[in-house]
Amino acid sequence: MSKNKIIQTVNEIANLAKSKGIAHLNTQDKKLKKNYITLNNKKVINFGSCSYLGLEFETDIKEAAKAAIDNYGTQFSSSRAYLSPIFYQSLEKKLNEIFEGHVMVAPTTTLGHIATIPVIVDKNDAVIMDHQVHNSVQTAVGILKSKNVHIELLRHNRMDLLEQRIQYLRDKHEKIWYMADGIYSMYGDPTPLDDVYALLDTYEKLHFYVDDAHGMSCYGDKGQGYVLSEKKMHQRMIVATSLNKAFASGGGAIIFPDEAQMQLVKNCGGPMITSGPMQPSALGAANAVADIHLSGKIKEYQEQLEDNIRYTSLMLKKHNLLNMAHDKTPIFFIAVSLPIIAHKLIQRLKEDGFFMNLGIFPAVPIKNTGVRFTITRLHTFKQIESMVGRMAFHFKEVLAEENVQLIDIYKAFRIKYNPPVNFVEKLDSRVNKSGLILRAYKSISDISSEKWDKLLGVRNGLDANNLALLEASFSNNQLAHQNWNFDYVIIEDQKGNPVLATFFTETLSKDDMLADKQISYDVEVMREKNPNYMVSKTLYMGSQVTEGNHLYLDRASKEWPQAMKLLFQKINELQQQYGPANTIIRDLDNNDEEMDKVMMNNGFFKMEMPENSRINDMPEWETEEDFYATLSKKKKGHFRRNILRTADSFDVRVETISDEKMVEKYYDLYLNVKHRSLEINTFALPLSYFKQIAKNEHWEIIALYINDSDEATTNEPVGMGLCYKGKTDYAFPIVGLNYELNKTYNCYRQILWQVVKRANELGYQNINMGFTSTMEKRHFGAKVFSSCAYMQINDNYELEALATMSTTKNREDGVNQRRVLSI
Amino acid sequence: MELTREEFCLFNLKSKIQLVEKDGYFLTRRVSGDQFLISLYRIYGFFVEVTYEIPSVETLSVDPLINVEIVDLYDFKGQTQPQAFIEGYLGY
Repeated sequence: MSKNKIIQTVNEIANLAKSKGIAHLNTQDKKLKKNYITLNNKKVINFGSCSYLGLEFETDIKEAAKAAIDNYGTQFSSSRAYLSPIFYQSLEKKLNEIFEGHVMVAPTTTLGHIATIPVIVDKNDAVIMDHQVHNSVQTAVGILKSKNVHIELLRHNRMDLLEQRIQYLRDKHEKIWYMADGIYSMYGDPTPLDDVYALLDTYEKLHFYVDDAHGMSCYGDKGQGYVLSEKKMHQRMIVATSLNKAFASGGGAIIFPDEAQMQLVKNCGGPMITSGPMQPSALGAANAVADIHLSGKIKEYQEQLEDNIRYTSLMLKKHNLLNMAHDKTPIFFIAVSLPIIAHKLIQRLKEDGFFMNLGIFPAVPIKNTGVRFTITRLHTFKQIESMVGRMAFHFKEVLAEENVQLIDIYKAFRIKYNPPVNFVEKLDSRVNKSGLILRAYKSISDISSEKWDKLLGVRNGLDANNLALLEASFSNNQLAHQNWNFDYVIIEDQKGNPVLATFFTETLSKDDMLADKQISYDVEVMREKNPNYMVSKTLYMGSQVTEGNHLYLDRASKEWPQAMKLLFQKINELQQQYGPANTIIRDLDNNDEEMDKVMMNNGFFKMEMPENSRINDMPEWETEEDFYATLSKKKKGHFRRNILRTADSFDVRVETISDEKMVEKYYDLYLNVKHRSLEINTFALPLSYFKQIAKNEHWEIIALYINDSDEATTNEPVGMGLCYKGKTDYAFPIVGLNYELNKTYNCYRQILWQVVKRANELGYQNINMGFTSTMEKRHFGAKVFSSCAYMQINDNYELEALATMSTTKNREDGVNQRRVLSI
Repeated sequence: MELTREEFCLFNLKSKIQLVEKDGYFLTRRVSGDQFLISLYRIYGFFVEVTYEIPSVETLSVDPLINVEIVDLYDFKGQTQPQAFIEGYLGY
């Protein structure tokens, strides 16, 4: 998935949340009173503030901000490289005392990163970022790409892998920068400081850059934050922090171990030279907040916050709500798994007077969606108790509405569920209120082929005959990725009328299957050393070798939404059974907004599939001349140049294959194409599939031979198309070529023509010509159809690693400089 | 939602006062040596003593009763009167 596709997905998720009134909201209050805000004419308690100590309403701080404006105006507009207002000097002095380091104040933490990271990281250094490090750090690291700095992404808090990478990189790089958060913003979990310090002590080349924005003020006797309250400043460490959150003023601070480094960044860091300064009001407030930190009063505030956190944790526990966040931080994350549950919970809590946040992709994997909220010192126990009580009430209601069991949520978050599963309860939810019945099968042979073919058999290659062939082909093979699990689902109403039907396959597949070609190229280079690199179990609706819409859904039935709910339950069951990293529902209509919502609510995000070429309703023709006459002027030219000119060179044979040696020859031609094609990067099909095809009456091969006096040449096929004779469509999913002769004879184009010709001979008006090479197929009258896939990823790491690669500037030799760690 | 006595003890003084105000039932009070006013509350199925300094009315401690016999030190007659008295005294 490329960076652009991730942006598109995030945009869709945000728009959905906005349409439900739970994101991108605005307060209506002209004056705030403590932690109350007004949203959509309703007074609610704010459980989304990062001002954890509630200092923003302290009189001294407000007065200091006002005084700064009175004395200096609303802005003192000068680059700090020339002139800084008096407040900076005093603030930096106070912060030096708080942090016991050398502090540079920046207009924001993000600008602080952007000023610091490109200056301190040299082109000969390597950067290892924690997968969950704050986006602002990743943004600043992005600037290093122009210097071709080696950058890696590390699985979250995996110190064992970090050490492995340090050992690998230390001989190749001058410094190795590990970049992490002090406390991570989504689950509130801390970076394992003891381990990081042990590595700093062991490896001299290791340097540590840590963003402690969420720890600032809340920890330490002077409010110096989580990291510096736990550990003394290390000489090879830089701490960045925010003055915007619990510090309740504005700006960011970067703490250096020595003055020389601090001055270097002040002198050379881009935003320190060219960006404007902090406003006097924020500087005035920051000075007053720093005074509170140094006065010792901060400890009292911290204790109050700590008790609020403790009380919240106890309440959540007593209500059996699953808090995924670290229990010592003011960030809470209630596991709900599906976006639809989180949306409903947040909507209902807002109605009850509590404002909460949505924790969703890309911050967490889509199926690990949750309700994120924060606790501040300003919350009262009464507010906390009533909020948690209402959340527990709605949680049960929403789970019942969505037919989701508590155990499903535990499983989605990979947490052991201790209470015994109430089997009857589970059964009750399965046979739901609508009375729909889900029938599950492990093999197509368990289903009446007549029944199945009425539903999906009319679609290309999805008939019982071909599915039986797939089952026979993709079993008992030597390689793991060539063995698939099959599952069939039919959902019927009480009268036995089918509402939904589909099938699933579970197999190993390449994570970069739909990624850009260049990324797949880079990943394949890695796979030469490690064949399992970025290979994951995947659950497909349909299979890797079938094309088209694999979902029969009677949209005329009122019960189709309920049928979809049952389907999602079944998918969930299959996910528990097989443990796939990805689940892909393929080839659905790209312009179905209703389905988009259903999918997104259930944790699937949309991706565009590569374009598919089809000839639909081909007009009848008898001779080549007739077909030629149907073409446009431009296409006629192409036909003359590329088809007719070389047509006499070929001996075209339409055959079923009986000779095993011939099967192998055709298989070799297929492999020639497969190894060159990275547009849809799948594993090569097994030979066993070709052998099954050879035995099947519904398949035939269109083989090209060169008319030549040389016997050796005339007996060797130079191209082939494997074609499926479906009920309504003729399909051409597999091609094989001899590339050496392709240039001379235009074999590929000739195969396309022969496919069209053969389909016409057999009386087909519809030809499915498959993915890729759409331009070539258009010359024969094919039209391009776009479809989409819906994808669910259990772990964002591989996805983000691929996206990180996609934004990398490539070297001239096409080899990507950046590497991504495998698990 | 109720807390256990052990959970209650995890909180600092300010928080304990908040809990008693929110969930406690005033029972009675006594004066100890003219220096301390001690109120007895029932909360979450156990008793707590809230000790105030006289005359500043500063809350000095909120501690669960470990020895139930201490309850014998209190006079429970006309307990609504002392409650009104104490609340007025504390400015509630």
